[in-house]
Amino acid sequence: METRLPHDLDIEKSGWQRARERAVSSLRAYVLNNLAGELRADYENEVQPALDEPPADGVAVHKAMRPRPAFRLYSSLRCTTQELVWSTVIDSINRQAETLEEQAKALSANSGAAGSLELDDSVDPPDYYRAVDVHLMPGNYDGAAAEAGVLPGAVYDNGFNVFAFGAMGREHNDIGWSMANFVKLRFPDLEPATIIDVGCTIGHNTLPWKQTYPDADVHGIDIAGACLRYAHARASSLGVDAHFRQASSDRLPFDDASVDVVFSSMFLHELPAKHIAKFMSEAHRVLRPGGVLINMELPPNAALAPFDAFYLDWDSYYNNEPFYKAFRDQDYRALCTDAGFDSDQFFEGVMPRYTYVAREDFAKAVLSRAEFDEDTGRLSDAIQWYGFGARR
Amino acid sequence: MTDAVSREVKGGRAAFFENPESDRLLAMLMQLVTEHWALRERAMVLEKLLVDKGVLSAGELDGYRADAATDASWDTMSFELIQSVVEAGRNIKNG
Repeated sequence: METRLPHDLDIEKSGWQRARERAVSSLRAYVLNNLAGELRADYENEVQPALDEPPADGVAVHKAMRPRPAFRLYSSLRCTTQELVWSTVIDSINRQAETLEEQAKALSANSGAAGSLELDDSVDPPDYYRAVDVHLMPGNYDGAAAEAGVLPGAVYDNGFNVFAFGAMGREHNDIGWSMANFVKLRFPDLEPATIIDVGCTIGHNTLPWKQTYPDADVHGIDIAGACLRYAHARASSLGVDAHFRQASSDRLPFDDASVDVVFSSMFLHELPAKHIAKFMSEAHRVLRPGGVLINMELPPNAALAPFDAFYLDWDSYYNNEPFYKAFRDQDYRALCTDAGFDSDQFFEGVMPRYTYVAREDFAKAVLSRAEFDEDTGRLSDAIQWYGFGARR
Repeated sequence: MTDAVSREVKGGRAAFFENPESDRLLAMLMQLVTEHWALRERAMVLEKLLVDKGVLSAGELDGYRADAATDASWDTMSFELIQSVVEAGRNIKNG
């Protein structure tokens, strides 16, 4: 397992720390590949045949699975592994907190003029964001303290490396590469001048847009200042020019009809429904005619078999993702049309990981009708990404 | 000294077994597994370095046989380790 991050915010880790990360990553791969397989087998072989009638949805499957030993073992180990992901890297980060802050400042200071960082103290995180630590990540995206510097970004980046067990790209950026190339293949006439990534955290999926469309101005937007500081230093180290700006998705800091691509990834499911609707309206407002909104997300429950819906909704119940299921229960086309997009401009796609497969295989999937199966949105070695949106 | 980043999770996490103690035990076990792997990897690194630098020959560690006195003392140490683990919960009351 590669425990080094591919940029200059990488911290020195002892052999002991690297070995612990390897063990936790292996444990995650085991839980999400092997134990998840046993959970499915238990459902298909034991639980489903004993049901009086086929389960209507994921909620019914959840109810049937809760008492099962396979569910308890899978769930308890998944939670424990999630906690180990963060606690393992927090040890390393605490040992080098000062060095990391200094390194980030030096990198940000050396950032090219084509990139920028704009923080805004008046951006106040909403109450729902303060209520729980999402993904069981201590301190959430900006740390418990306002003076957290870049450390919450470092926790996220280093933790993500263990969390992803190599399944999300060398720079944890496969989602960005996949969605940018999805747009490029689906909308070959689009020549974007301005691209924004809303809820960008540390900018890992922001930078592939600049690398895909080098002539565009690329902006990462988030409410978490600590992640943005980290994102700016990280982008500087990787030599990719991007602008990072602290703002809420309720009020995007762009003029009407001034943006060509509005992108988000794994973002909508973190928001209560009214904030999702607000963001979608804002996306419609800032997009130019012909511009594209694309959200990389978990697939909608309605498109999945009941077991697969239950499997993905696990996070909503047990991984501090309170709005995840409510989002996935919605009609994504309606989210777009309610915000002002035309129904016939709605699109969705299921695709393999861009940086893992041959270009022609990726293109074939992008240009095909979206087909959903058990690998859609399920983090494993065989994951398929899902994206949806609309053209203005 | 307070750590720069806390490990406390706002909102906590769920338990799944009849008793939350079982979830805690499983968590402890996984922490131990992580530490166990770290030790094992360290031992493998040491052996590889010693062989690479010519201090040991390949397979020498596996072929090692302690002399009788050392072997007997390790029997004792092994028993004491097992005993300390098994008796760790000896003060817990039933019910």
